[in-house]
Amino acid sequence: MSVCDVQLQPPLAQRGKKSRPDESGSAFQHVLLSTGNIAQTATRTTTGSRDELLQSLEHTLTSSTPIQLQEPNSNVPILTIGNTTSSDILAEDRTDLDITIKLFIPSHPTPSHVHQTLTHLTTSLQTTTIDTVIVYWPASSSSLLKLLPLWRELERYVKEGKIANLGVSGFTGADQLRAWNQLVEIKPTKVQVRTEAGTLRVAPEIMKLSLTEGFELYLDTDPDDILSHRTLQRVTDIHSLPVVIHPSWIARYQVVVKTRQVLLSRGYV
Amino acid sequence: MGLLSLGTPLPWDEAKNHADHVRKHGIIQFLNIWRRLRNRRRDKLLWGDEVEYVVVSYNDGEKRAKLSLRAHDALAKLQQIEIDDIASGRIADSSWKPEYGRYMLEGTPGVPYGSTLEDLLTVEDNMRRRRQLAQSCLKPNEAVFTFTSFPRLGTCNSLEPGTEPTPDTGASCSLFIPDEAINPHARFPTLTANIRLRRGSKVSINMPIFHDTNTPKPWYEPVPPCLTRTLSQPLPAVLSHGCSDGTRAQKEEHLCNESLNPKALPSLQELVPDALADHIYMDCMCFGMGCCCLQITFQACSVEEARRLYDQLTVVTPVMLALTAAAPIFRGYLADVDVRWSVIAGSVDDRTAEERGLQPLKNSRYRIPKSRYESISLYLSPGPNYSGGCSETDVESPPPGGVSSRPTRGGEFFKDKYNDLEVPFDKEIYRQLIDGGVDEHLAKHYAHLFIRDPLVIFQELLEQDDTASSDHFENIQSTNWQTMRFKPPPPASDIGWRVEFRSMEIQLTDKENAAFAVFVVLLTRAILSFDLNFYIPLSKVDENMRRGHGRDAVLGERFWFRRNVFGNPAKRPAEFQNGVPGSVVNGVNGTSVNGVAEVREEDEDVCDEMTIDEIINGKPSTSFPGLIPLVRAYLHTISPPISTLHRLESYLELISKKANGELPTTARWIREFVRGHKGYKGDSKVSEEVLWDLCKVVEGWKDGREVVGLNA
Repeated sequence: MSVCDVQLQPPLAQRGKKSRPDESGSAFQHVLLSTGNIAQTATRTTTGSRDELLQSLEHTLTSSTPIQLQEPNSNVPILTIGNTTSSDILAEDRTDLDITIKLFIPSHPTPSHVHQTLTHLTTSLQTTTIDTVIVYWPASSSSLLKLLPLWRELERYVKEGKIANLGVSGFTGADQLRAWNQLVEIKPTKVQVRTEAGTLRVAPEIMKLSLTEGFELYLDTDPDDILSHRTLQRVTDIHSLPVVIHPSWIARYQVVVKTRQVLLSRGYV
Repeated sequence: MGLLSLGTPLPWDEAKNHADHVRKHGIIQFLNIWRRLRNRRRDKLLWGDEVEYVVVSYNDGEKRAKLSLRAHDALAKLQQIEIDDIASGRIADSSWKPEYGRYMLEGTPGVPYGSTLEDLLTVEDNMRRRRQLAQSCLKPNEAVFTFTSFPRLGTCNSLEPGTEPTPDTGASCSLFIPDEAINPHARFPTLTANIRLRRGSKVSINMPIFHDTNTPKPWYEPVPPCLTRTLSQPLPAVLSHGCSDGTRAQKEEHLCNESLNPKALPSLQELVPDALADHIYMDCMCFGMGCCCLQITFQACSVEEARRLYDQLTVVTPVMLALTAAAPIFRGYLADVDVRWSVIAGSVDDRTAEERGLQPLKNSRYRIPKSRYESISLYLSPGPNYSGGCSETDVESPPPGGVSSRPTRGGEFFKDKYNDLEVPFDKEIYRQLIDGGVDEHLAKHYAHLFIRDPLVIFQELLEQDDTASSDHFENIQSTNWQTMRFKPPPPASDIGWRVEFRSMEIQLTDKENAAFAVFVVLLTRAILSFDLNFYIPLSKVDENMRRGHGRDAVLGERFWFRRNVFGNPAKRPAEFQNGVPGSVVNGVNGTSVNGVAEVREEDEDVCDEMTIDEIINGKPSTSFPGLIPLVRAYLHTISPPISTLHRLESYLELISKKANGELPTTARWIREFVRGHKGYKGDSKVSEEVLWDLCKVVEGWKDGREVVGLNA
């Protein structure tokens, strides 16, 4: 169903899932798009997470009515589309579950991104703890420092017992990882890497580093650019959302039942 | 091979009188289990494999490889090791059981495998250690193998120690295999004799001969030398009586009072009523139950999940049969089939002539289309009130708005039209189960299984406490041997509802056995995680089983498989009918209403004929994802460490290659070995010399980890 005539007034600026204050006098500064649990909907695809995100976004925009909510702890109104609350999770024992969040930061990582993501997700997943948070950051040696403030915020959550493990993704070399581990207080225990196309071979220096630094290696199956500004713009245009829109952060959550290795819930916010 | 009770088994003419008693109490026992355990929830994933082995004895002087009946002694040693381990507080690494053949061993992991992906990596090593342990209990001139069908079982002088078959007496009355080949535990010979007696004739199995360049057409088998004496006399009364009616009349003239020249005997097919031209004739249970298989049992979190997986995996059973095909030779001849399934089906077929439809019903209650060893005839459906999870709320309080208000979780996929086979069932038992609180589908399942008579009844176990024992229930349940088995918990243990996958043939190497076992388990996880729907009519599954028998069916045949395996496409927005985001499709399969295409039900449930390659690896032209890409997507989602992923991926690769022909099936490998052997004469006969070399080559692979051209 169409979403354009409900509560939106052009021009629109978005944050949350979208970003960048645009014009002044806009009705909404923030928009939060949640796909809900896509693990069992017809939008399941085996062609990769970019398509998965795109299809589930489309599905959400088509099937959900936008609602105006207040952002927690502020008076800033947020346009929320879609619903993350998953009752499947409620029924299970929290100790049986493994909850992982992967955070994609397109451009400017700030600590508040962490705060927003985690607040939203812990509420909708009805939990106070997250087992693993992985941050995707297409790191170059010069940009490591940009990620630091966000990481410090994550460290704070770890110290408070709200996150158990931290991880990184998108770091291309052993040097970067080594440098990163010098910079941070709480080191990542999980590192996602890309491998040679068609194989599962990891560069030997990274293998060695994983042993000395004590992190576990995982396969990064996500593309560099999981949701570009242009793609998001095109999607919102098709759905007649008269907005100028930039994603400021994208989070993927996943809930797995440990004792059965069954995926319970997976979605994007 | 079922549970082994101890005691005095009743002969058939006594046992048959207690059939109703066993059935009646078996159902009561099931109802007791149902009432107590139907709401069991949250059982974790535990699973195990069963590997069956044969023991071969080498006679180096004569270059003969025979089946060793001394495997029975090795079994005693293996069981003692297990007992000693447990007594001293250690966890037994493996567990051993007798199997039908006295030359067979069955080994399982000592404790079930756990629920993590890392547990899957321990399977191959566990299998390897079992093989080594079994080998260590054998004599120096013996070796353990995992042949699905031992090529020269039933040929002259193929057992060590050697004995003569006794066609006119004993449990089997076989022309080819002596009763000494049967495991001496009371259950097995009794089972053999009672099947034959209930049926009213010997079992009769005819598998098509493989016509090679020098194989005559039509093919009539020359009487094997060791049978010359038997068949040159007027056939013993029990033998001619022991063949099925219908074929007997034609052959009578050869049988009565003719003095046949032992040096110029007619062919086997002309002498033996049941033997067909162009076919390899087999006449006893040992030909079937003396084969080896690979079986996987795993625990579900609830009875609903067990039923759901039972149904979904049923569709996959013929696919796995074709992929694991490993039985191209029977009784020393190359057959025109690659698998053992029909042979076993025939070997325990206790149906009377009336039940088989050869005579009008008079003494038998039902016409029964299938042997008690066959593919399943009914889907179970997950059952009412199943909304997909494994939590208390599923049963106690369906979610507000009803089950359908949630995204589909597998409970909605079942439709009555999929159960399209003729299924005889006991109406009284059905009523009993319904009255006992069982839903219609599960009730019909057991009312169907329980049309069978119990074949082995122990005198001492006739009277049981139905609240504490499930022996009568298991008696019938475990002598229905099907492609899948639904297994309720035993009454007095902590075990949950389980499902057994039974169609796979055993492979020559542990790497392959591990790969297939792990694949089936991963497939179940993908089915549950992605809400996959494989349902097709059971008649098509049966058709697939038939097609899966053929020589190289994996490459040459097409199999029915569901096209739309993801959720419910009727709920998919029109924009995605073609999988292209953003495009508007104007009713590809129907009219578009409010942007949602209404897909006709026939299109939603359509199934296509696909090759095994397409089913396993995908068919892009219809967007059918393929079972391996689905499993791979599951693995990438769960995201185990790369080292784990790497090893699991190597198993997926192996199966992928078996599916597309880059690697041969075991059956094709064995067949090509025989045909390429210098001693093979192109006449379908597998000689002693060829078998010897085959065994020596396979044994030379040591632990069979990597065998170029077979599993690598």
